[in-house]
Amino acid sequence: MNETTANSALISFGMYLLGVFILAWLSSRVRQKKEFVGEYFLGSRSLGLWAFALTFAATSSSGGSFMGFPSLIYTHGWVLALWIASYMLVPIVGMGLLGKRINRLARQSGAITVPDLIKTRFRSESVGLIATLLILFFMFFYLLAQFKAGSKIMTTLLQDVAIYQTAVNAVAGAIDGVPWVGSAEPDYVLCLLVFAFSVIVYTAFGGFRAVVWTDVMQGIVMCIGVIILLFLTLSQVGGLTNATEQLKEMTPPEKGSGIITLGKEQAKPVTLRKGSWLRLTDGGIVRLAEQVALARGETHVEAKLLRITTPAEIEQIAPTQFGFPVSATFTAEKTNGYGSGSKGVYVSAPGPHPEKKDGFLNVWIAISFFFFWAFGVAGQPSNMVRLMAFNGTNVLRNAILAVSIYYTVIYLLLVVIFCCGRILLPGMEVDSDRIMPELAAKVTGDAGVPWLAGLLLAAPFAAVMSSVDSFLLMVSSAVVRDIYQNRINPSASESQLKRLSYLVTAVVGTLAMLAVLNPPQYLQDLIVFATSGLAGCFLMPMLLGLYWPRMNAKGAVTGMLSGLGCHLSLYIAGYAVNGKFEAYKFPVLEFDPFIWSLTVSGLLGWLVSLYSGREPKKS
Amino acid sequence: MNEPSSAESRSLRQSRRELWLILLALLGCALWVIGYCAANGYDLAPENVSTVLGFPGWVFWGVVTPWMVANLFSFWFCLRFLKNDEDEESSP
Repeated sequence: MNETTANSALISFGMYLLGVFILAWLSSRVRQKKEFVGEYFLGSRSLGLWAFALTFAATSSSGGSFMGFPSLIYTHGWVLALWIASYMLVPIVGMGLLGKRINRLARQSGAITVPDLIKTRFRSESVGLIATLLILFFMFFYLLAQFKAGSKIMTTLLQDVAIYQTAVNAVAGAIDGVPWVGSAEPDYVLCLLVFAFSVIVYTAFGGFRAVVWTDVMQGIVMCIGVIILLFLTLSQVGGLTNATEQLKEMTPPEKGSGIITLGKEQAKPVTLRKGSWLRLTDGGIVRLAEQVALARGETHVEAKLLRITTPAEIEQIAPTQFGFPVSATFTAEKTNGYGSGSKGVYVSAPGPHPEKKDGFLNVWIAISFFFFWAFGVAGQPSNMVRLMAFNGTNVLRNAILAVSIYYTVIYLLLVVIFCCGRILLPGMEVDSDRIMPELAAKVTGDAGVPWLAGLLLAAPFAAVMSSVDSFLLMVSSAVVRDIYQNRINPSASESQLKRLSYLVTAVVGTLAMLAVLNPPQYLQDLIVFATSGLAGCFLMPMLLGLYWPRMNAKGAVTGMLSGLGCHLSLYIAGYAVNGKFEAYKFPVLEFDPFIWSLTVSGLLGWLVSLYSGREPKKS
Repeated sequence: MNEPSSAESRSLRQSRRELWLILLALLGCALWVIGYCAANGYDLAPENVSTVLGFPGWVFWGVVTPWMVANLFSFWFCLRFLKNDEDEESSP
């Protein structure tokens, strides 16, 4: 990323944060005229079309949509269109499956949170309490992961800004030797502090309405960013047909290592940056997969490398100029993967994979993901609470239409953009999470509008912030409304609840930030763990409760706890078998654990309700 | 749940119809998308990959086309099939 692009990223980030704080201030002004708890946690149930549509869409699009997803498209090719395909029906399933019934019940009962709603429907305090504890348990993991994702995105986007590097050096000096924090990367710590402070302040200060308004802004930023990126990328690859034809001829690069040799001894220590291109002694070309340093007088060093294997790319890529000759040798890692040396793998399924011999997406996993996206979105409590807040079926109707178009634009076009990105930026496998900022910098720079990169780079900020704020408020509402107001002090005054809400939002956010100051391993896996766990526990009890009058409290408790039990069992089994934090997958039906916990939760919840007798009629 | 009123019963019946149609649409799309892509998109040699409007043929017919059909279905569902509850206006 050049200096102009890097500075425009910083300016866009600053303007973006300013916009967020203004919206939080405006929403706090609106709140002063309304009842506090209903307004702070549910926006007084008054969401109109665009607010409802965009808050739903933006909350579902987390940092993964603009960092992880593009990285997967770049690495595995067109098969990602199949991986994400069920987003064609996510709006109608996610909003239509539960929306009308949830909204009706919430209005009739005055429920403000999801546990409130569940408690009212099943007329059981214990069901409400279990729902609260499950939300707190899974949401906190989710919050940790999103805080880390937000900070990582910032470090990626700002790393070439000079003033930022000065601040990083200052932080490095400040945390050196501090227990726990001292072993973390200083750039990560700096970005985490800025990111966490911003999100905590605007969420605590503005409440649900601020979260929704910022979601609307974030949704617009994401949509405009994707459309601009599409036009710039397509024009630079010569159209989509040309891009697909080139992709057909590509073969996956090989990972390995080799010896880097300087042509002559250098008087000073030499650092070769990660991502530098080196010519092999056999005429091939490799990319440095890590930064390497050579001491004064040293001429050889071993390093991780990525060898390009597509002939057309080998011809086009020029080695990086260091001012002295550098050459390298290469030894490929032995892999058992799919697609190595084969043409056509980027334009067909299952897509190349360096380790999995049946490729990136076999048919079983494709089936699993098709249902995972659709039901996973429907089963998230953070989405359910939005379904409680819209203002009538007309809003729901138009919002489903708006989100259908929005998801088509975002997800289908992202696949097109980053398949083309493979052609414009070869060798990004060395750091594929950076494909979004690198592509934005490349296409805007080549089009002569480098300042535009700032807008494109705001999209990932927007995506991750719009998720974090929603989860933060979910956890806060679980503590203030479901535990304090409903169980500890039902007669709490408006001002007590107000102070407590600010305090809890700030404390929860701060705890999450402190927990990830030195980020634990497997954090990305925690996102999957939390998402599928929440949907596995909540979707079926909620669905049966809304559509089947015989569903009772015993059935709901059984449904939630059996979903939890199945989910945890598969993870424990996965850890026992594979030695790492991932769910066990059966050898034949390789479904995601979510599919199993959904099935078990629904089946047991239904059976227990069926055989435990009807609920007594309420007098 | 309390003994349902007649308005609640009618709302529940209509919502169930909408629920079944949504699930049917999801199943239909799953069969189309997974079925078509499994039959036509796996393990292709580059010379066997046709392009339609720049997309690989199996992506166009197996993902893009059903995506557009799903959007049309969503429009029809929302504008024609999804009904307002009759007592919606009187809700608090």
